[in-house]
Parts: sequence; structure tokens; C-alpha cells
Amino acid sequence: MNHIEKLVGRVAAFALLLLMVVVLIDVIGRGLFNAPLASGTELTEMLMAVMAFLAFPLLVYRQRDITVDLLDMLGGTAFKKYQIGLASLCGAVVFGLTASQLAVFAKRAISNGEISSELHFPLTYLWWFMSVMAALTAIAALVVAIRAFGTNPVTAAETQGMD
Amino acid sequence: MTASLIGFLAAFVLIFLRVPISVSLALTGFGGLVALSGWTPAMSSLVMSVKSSTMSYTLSVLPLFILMGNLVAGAGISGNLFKAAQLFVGRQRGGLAMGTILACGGFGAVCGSSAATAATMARVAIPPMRELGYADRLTAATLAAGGTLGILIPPSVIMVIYGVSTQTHIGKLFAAGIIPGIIGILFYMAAVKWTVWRDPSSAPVAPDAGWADKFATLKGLWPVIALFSLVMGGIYGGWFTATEAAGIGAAGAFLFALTHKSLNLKAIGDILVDTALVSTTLFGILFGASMFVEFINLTGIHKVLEVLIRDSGASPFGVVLIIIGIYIVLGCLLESISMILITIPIFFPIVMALGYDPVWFGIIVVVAVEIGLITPPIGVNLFVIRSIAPDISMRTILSGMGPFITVDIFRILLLAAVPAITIWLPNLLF
Repeated sequence: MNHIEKLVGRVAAFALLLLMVVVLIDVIGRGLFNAPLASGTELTEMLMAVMAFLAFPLLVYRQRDITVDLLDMLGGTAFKKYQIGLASLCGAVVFGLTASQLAVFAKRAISNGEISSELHFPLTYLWWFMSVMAALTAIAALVVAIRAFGTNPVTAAETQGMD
Repeated sequence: MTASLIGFLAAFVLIFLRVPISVSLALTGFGGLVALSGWTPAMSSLVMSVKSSTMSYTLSVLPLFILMGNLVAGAGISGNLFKAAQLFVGRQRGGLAMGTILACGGFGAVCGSSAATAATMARVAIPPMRELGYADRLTAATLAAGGTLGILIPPSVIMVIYGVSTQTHIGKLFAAGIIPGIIGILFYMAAVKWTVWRDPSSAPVAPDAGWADKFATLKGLWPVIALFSLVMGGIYGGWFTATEAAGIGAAGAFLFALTHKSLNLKAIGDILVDTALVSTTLFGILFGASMFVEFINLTGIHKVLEVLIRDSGASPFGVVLIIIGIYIVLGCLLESISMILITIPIFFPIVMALGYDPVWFGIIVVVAVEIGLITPPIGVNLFVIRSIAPDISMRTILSGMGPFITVDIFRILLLAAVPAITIWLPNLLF
């Protein structure tokens, strides 16, 4: 699992790096050569989606999403199991529903022949990618929920808020 | 009205049961939409919300600014800032703490997050402060409070979120944060002075550094100054938008990181991965909040509240004070970004109807959030300090917070009573 996690994390990081480069080329092109990158906005949007949907399963698997742990002092370890179980099941429901609806969008995009306006990229691929990643996120959440009750729960990452 | 109350209650129950904030809000929002408008529209909203909170050009400003801050932090610039700040204020009693406040403000100029500012500065400032014999409660409180400047001094994640959700000019918001940020620095320094005056033993006087040392540390500041000038100058000069400025800033920081000897490629790679993950936690909250807000808007609660306020006969300033009060209470209980996202659709139209400036209100919200970050029980910065110096107890941290929270309350009242402090600079620049 660790290898897959690392790989997915690196691809997400690469999308972020490309995002930076796209904005840079866009600004330099416009400022110096009066020729902005025509597809800059579109590329930025796609890279954002790619980065986020690669990161979602990692965040859910390592339980890095921001939580409020005000009531932690009330419960013991048994309580904690149910807490992780509940949180992960809720996550599985949200991402499962999102995945199924994204698949509906993806199928519709094929039949409508939806393409992006600048790059003429068939949008169905993007919707399928998002749908599959959302489904993987839901599965990751289920794994966390099930393993919380076993002998080998998924280790949560240390987190820090971004406020 | 009843539907929205049930919605808020359900979301709070889930959040306090430690379900991630993003998931709690998305799930209650979805449930509410199913109840009010049916399954199919609710399912469509799910995809629309997730799309608008990830596939967005405007939001790309968030990962890019976070990347800039993380790269600068990774290169160890915070240490230079800390040393340089001592040149100005270091030699008086409490000087080390005041210098730390100043350095936090300086770091805030390249970092848009309070937790990141507190964490970064705490790593460099806590060891020397303790070594000199500073009381732990003053050390911890200085860092927790100083860290909040990260979201007020531009760039700021919170301002971007406010700007995006209210269609307010992000460049104007950034400019509006500068003077209140400087006031924040001065007020926090006053809080340090007050603490030291009450208990001189809490802050021994630091020895003076030689002139050669002083000049050497000033040289280490150029990346911060260069990046801040590039980003802010570019926005105010009209050369680029906030998103473009963020891209340029991140690229500048990236270039600096590549040439900096304390960062190798692996470390830069780790920073990129971490930035992608942290940014996506924000997108998750945006996704959940956007579902929740769609449901809340459908219940029409903001209209009910608007009528309620209009008929109450309260003065506009009175209404603003009530809203500030609500934010401070909510800030003690909730994470700040979700708090802003779910309250703005309710409060923003009310405040605008009273004739206030959207930029000014944005700064009031940010300062209220700052207070929430250092008040128990959910003060994020308190936990950040705890995680970096685990041997300082929460009780010790809290015992030092009093003067800092007091000056914060003064500051927000001052900014609320005299809007010109906030909106003079953005109106001058734009």
C-alpha cells in the first residue's frame, strides 16, 4: 500500500508543479510576447481536478481530513473505534454517491460529444477519471472503517490545520 | 426555518462526533437537499459542488500560495526573520518576544496560513526563548498569537475564500489587511510589554549582538522581501491577477528553493506532495460547505434573519457587533474555513443591506477568525504550539493568552468602529 500511496502522491505533486508552470508560462507569454497561453485557464482547471482527485483517497485513507476533536477526552479506545467507523462510513457514502453521479456525467459526455473549448479534449475522460478516483476514495474509507475494528487499524497521519 | 435548524444541528452533531468537517457538511447538505427538492437534484448538486470546488481557475490561488509559503519555510528563512527582528527590538526586556511577533508578521507576508506561521515560527523561536529563560507561558502565547498574523497580512487563505464566496476583489482584500496587520503587530507587542511589566522575571534581557552579525542577518532577508514585493507589487501594479501572482510567487520560491543549499530535491518533492494534500483538504471543506450552503439557501433562513434584524430596530453598528460576537463564539467551537463558508451566505447580505463595505467586512471576519484561533477549546494555534513543544501544557499556554486575547478584542472593536483604517489603503491603491 505504501508504494501505491507514494506513487499517487507524487503524481498529485507533479500536477501541482505543472499548474505552477502553466500559470508562469501564461504570465510570461502575455507580459513579454503579448501572447498568453490560450488554453491556460482550461489546463489550470484540469490540473486542479487531477491533483484534488488523486489526493482525496490518500487523505481519506490516512484520515488527514480536518476534524474537531473536542469530545475526544470523553471516550476510551472502544469509543474511538466507533468514531473512526462512523466517520469513514459517512465518507464512503459521500464519495460513493459522488462517484456514481460522476459516472452518469461521464456517460452523458460521451453521447453529447462534450469537448473542452480550447484544447478540444473529450471531457468524458476527465469525468471518468474523477468518478474512478471518487470510487477509490469510497473504498479507501470502507477499508479504514473495517480495519478500525480489527487488530491492524490503518495508521492515521499527523495533521495540521490550514487556517 | 425549522429545516435549516435541523440541518445545522445534524452537521454539528456529526462534526462533534469527529466525522471530518467536509464529509459532515456534504452529508447533511445532501440529506437536506433530498428532503427539500428530491433525489435527482440533490445528486446533481453533489457533482456541481465537487466540480466547482476542485476544477476552478480562481481556487488555484490556494495551492500556489500554500506552496510558496511551504517552500520559503522549508528553506529556513524563518530563522533569518527571527534573527533580523531581534535587531530592532531585541535588547529591551521582552525584546525577544516582541521580535518574535515582528518575525511572525514578516513570515505572514509570504505565508497565507496562521497555523503554518505559528508552526514555522515556533520551531525557530521557542528554543532560543526558553534558553534565555523566558517563561513558557509567555513564549507559547507569543507564538500562538503571533501566528494568527499569517492570515491577516497578505497573502491570506482566508481572504481568498472570503473573496471567492462573496465575489469581493482579492487584491483589495489583501491591501486592506496590511494596516490592520501592522496594528495587530503593535498591539501584540503591547501585550508582551504588559506581561513583562506585570512579571519582569518572565522575560530576561538578551545580550546585544555585534554589528557584523546584524548586517549578516539582514542579508538573509532578501527572499522574503523579494517575494512579497513581486507578489504584492504585481497585484497592485495591475500586472497580474491574484492567481497569476500566486503562480509567480510559487515559481519564485521554487527557484529560490532549488538554489538554496538547505533543500535537496527530495525535500522539495516532499513539500510538493504535502502542499497537494493540504490544499485538497481545503477543497474538501469547500465541497462540503457548498453542498450545505445550497441546502441552507433553499430553506430561506437568511431572508427570515434579514426581516428579524430589520424589525428589531437595532442600529447598523449594533448588528455588526452582534455578528462579531457570534463569530467569536463560533470561532471557539468551529474550524475557521468551514465557519466562514457556512455563515457568509447568511451574514454577508445582511451587512451589505446595512450599507457597509464588503472589503471592510472581510477584514472584520478575518480578525474575528484570528481570535477564534487562539481561544479555547478549538483554538487551532494553541494545538499547533502544543504539538511543537509537547512539554508545555495546555494550562500553561492558556495562562499566557489573556493579554493577547484582550488586545485582539480591542483591535476588532477599533476596526469595526473606524472602517477607514481598513479601507483607506485599498481605495488608495485600486
